[in-house]
Amino acid sequence: MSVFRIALAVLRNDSRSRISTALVTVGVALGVSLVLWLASAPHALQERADRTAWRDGDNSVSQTDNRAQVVMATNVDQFDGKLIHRYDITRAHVGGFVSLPPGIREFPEPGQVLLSPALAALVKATPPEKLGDRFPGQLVDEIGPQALEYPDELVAIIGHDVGTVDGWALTGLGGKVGYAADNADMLYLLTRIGMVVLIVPCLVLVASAARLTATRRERRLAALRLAGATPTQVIAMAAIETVVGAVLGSVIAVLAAEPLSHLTAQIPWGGGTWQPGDFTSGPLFTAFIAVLAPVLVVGAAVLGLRRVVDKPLSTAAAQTRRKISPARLLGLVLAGAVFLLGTTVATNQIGGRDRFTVVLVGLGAVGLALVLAGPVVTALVGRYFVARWRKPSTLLAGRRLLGDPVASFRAAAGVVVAVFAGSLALTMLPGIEDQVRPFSGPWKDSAIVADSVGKNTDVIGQLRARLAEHKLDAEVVPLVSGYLRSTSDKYGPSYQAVIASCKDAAKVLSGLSASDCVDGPAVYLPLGYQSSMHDLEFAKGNRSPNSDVPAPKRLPEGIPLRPIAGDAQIMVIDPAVFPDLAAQPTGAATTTTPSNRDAVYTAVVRLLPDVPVADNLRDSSHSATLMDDLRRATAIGLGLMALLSGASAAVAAAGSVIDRRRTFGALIAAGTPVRVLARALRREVVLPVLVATLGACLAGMVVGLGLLDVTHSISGRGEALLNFWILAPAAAGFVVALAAAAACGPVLRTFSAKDYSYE
Amino acid sequence: MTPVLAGRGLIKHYGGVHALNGVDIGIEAGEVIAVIGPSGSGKTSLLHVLSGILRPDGGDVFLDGRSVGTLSESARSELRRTAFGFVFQSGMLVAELTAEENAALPLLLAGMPRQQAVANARDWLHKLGLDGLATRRPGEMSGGQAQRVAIARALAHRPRVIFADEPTGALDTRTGQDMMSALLASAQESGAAVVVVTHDAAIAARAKRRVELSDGRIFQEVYA
Repeated sequence: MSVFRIALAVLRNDSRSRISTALVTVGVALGVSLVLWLASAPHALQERADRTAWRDGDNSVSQTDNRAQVVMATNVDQFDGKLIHRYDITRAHVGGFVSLPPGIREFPEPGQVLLSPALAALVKATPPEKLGDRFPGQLVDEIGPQALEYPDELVAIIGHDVGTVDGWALTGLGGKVGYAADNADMLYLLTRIGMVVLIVPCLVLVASAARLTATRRERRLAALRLAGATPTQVIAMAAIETVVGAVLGSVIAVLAAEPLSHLTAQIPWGGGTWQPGDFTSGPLFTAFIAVLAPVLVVGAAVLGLRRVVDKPLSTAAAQTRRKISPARLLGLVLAGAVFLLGTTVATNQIGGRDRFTVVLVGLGAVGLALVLAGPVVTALVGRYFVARWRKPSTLLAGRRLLGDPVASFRAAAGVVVAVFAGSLALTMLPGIEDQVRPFSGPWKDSAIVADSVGKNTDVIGQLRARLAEHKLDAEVVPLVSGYLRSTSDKYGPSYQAVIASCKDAAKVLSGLSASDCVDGPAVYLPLGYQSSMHDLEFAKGNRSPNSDVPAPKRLPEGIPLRPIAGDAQIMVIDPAVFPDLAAQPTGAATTTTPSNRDAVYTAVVRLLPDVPVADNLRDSSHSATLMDDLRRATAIGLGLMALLSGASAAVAAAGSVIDRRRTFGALIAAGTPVRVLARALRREVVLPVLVATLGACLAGMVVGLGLLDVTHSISGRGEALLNFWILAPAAAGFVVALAAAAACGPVLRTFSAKDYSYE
Repeated sequence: MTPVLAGRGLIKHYGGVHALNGVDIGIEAGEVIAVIGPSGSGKTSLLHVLSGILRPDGGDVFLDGRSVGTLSESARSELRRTAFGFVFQSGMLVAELTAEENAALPLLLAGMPRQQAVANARDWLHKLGLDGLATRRPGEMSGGQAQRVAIARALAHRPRVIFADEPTGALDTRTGQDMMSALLASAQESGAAVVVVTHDAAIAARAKRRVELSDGRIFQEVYA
C-alpha cells in the first residue's frame, strides 16, 4: 500500500483524524480569509481615492493660466450629523472644455446641480429651506458611484456663472489618480496591526487542531517507522494527512473571498460603507497566500515530527519529560528591541508607508515572543502549585503544567495574544480619541461663521434680509478677520483677532461674555497676554486665494488692552479703534437656535456658496465618525480575536484531554470522580492564563504606548490616557479561558472506565 | 465461607456479541484467582463487570453480600476507589506525577491529608523495593518499576479486592514473574483478594485457582 493510500485510509477510518482535519480546514480558511481581507485594505483605500481624485486640488493653476478648465470652491456642510461635500463650480472660460471623471456624465452649467443619489433622496425628504435651498438650480443628473467615495456619500456639485466662484482653478476634473491620504494612513496601520494580531490566533487554532490527534499520530508514525518506513515515507504520510485540511481550507478561503468582500464592504469607515469590489486582492497575491498557508501548515507538521523520525522507539514507548529553557524569555527582549527600533523609524517619518514595516514586524515579534515565553511562565505556575498543593486536582494540574508546559500553554496561547491585542487597543483608543477630537474652535457651537466672504459684497445686509424674509430669529454679527502682532518683534507670533462690537461678538465667540465689555474703544485679550502686547498692528487676513491682502494698520496710541475672563481664543478689537476697516466687514457670524440652525445654515450658504463656513457641530460630527470607525474596527478585531482564541483554547483543551484518554480512562476505572479530573483540567487551562494574561496585558500596554507614539506622528497629537479599564482584557481573557476550559467536561464525559484498554 | 465478591448469572452483550453468557463466580477474602482463556472469551468483560466498571445486562455482582449492580454510577465509582484496587497493563500511571504521588492518588482522592497520604505511599514504595524512585516520573522508570508503583497505588488504600488486567503483558518473563511475586506478597500482607486476567500460563500458575473462560462461559476451574 502506498504512503498516500495509508494516509487516506487513516483519514477515512479514524473519526478523530477527520475532526482534526476539519478543524485544520476551518483554521486555515479563517486565517487565509483574514489575510486576504486585511491585505486588501490598501486596494480599497486606493479605489476610494481614485473615485474622489476629481475633487483633489492637486492640479490647481492660476486662474489666468490657459490650462485652467474649471474653478471650484470646496466646502463641507453638515445636516443632521451627516457631512455633505459641496463643490461650487464654474468653467474657467466661457464655453471652455472641461474633462469629466467617471461617474459625472455632464458638467453642471449655471443654474444646474448634480447631487449624489443619497443627497437627492435627502433633499426630496426635507423641507427646502432646511436643506434643498443650499443647492439652488435644476437637478440635471445624479452623480454616479464611480465619483463617490462610498455609496451613500452626500455630494453636491453646483454650477455657477463664469467668474463668480471664489475657488481654485483646476486643469480639469478627469484623468486623475487619487492619493489615499486623510485618515487612510490610520486605516492602513490599523489593518496591518489587525493582520498581525489576528493571524497569531489563527495559527494557534491551526496548531491546536493539528495537535488534536498528535499523540496518536506520533505513535502510529513511530510504529510505521519501527516497521521499516523510511523518514521520507513517514514525513510524506504526515504531510498528506495535514495537507488535505490545509489545502481545503485555502481553497474555501479563496472561493469565499469574493462573497466575503461584499460583506466586508458593508463595514462603515470614514462616514460610509464601501463599493462592492473595493476589498479585493490581486490574483497573484491571492494565489501566493493560498499556496503559502498550506505550505506553512504542512511545514510545521513535518517539523513537529522530528522526534518520531529521530527516536521512534521512545515515541512509541512513552513520553519523556520536556524541559523548558528560560532562554525563551530572551525572545521578549529581542522583540522589544525590534519594536523600539520600529517606533523610532515610524515616528521619524522615514520611508512613507514603508516606515511602518519594522514596527509591525516588532509588533508581530512581541506577540510571538509572548507565545514563546508562555511555557516558561506556565512551568513557573506549575512549580508553585506543585509545591503548595492540597487537593489532588491541584496536584494533577500543577504537575501537568510543570511536566509539559508547552502542551499546557497551547490552550492559553490564543487567549494571551487576544489579551495582548485587547490591552493594546484599550491603551491606544483614548489616545487616538484625543487625536481625532477636533480642536474646539474659537466660535460658540450655536454660531455659523463665514469669517471671509470672498468676492461677495454687502453680505451683512443681504443676509439680514434673507433671514427676515424666512422669519428666522437670528442675529448677524459683522466682523473683520485678521491678526494682531507686535511691530517691535518682527519674529514674534501673530494672534487671531476680529474687529467687531464686543457685545455682539460675545454672542458668537466662545469664552467672551458681555460682562467683559466696556464702552469705548478697546482691545479685548485673553488673560495673561497683556504684558507681551506692545506696539501692535492689525493685519487683515483673507483665506480666499488670489486676493490682495491690504497693508497692516498700527493700533492707535492709548487704546486700552482689556482682559477677557473666559478662555477666548480670538482677540476682539472694538470697531471704534479702526472705524474705516469696520465699515467694510469681511465676514459674518450668525447666531442660531437648535430649531432654526439648519434653516440659518441654508440661508448663509445660499448667499455665500463658495466660502468656508466655520461650524463646530460639523467638525465634531466628523471626529465622532472617525471615533465610531475606530471603535467599530476595534470591536470587530477584538470580537474576532475572542472567537478565534476561545475556539483554539477549547480545541487545545479538548485535544489535551483526548491525548490522555487512556490515563483518564484508567483513573476513572480506579474510581476517580470525573468532577475531580474536570476540575484539574480546568485549572490546567485557567492557571497559566491567569498569570500569562497579566503579562500580556502589561506587554499590550507598553506596545500600545509605542504605537500611540507612531499615530501621534501621523496626526500630530494624542496623549496616553491610562485607566483601570486596561485590565478589562485580562479579565475577559480569563472568562474566555474559563469557557474554553469548560470544553474539557463534555470530552471527559465521553470517556468511560473501559478507555484505559483502548488505543 | 461467604465470598467477599460474587458474580451470579452474569450476562454481558455488545450488540450481537455475547461477551458473558451466564457466569457464576465467587472470590473469597485473600484468594488469588487467575482468569484465563483465548482472546474474545470474555476475560476482560468479566473483570469490568466484577469491578463495577460495567453494569451487567443480566445477573448481579455482590460485595460482602450487597448488590453492586443496583448502585448508581457515582456509588460504583466510590466503591472502585475505596474497596477495589487496579493494576493495568503498562501501569497506566499518570505520566506527570511522581511515583509517590501516583501511589498516593487513591488516598488523596479519599480525602487523606497530603503529608499522611505521601508518607503512606512511601511506605508501600519501600515495601515494593522502590526506595530512591519516589520522585521519578513513569517515563523515567523501567516497565517493571512502573508496574510496582501501580501495585503500590492499588494497595495504598487497603482495598478488599485487587483487579489486575494483563499486568505483565508489557514485561519480559522474568520481570513479569518478579512483579507478580511483589503483587501477591503485598496482597497477602494486606489481606486483599486478587483477580488476575492474563494470557500467560506461567503467571496464571501462580494463582490458587484458575478460571478458564470460553465463549463467555466458565469452561473449567482448576485449583492449584
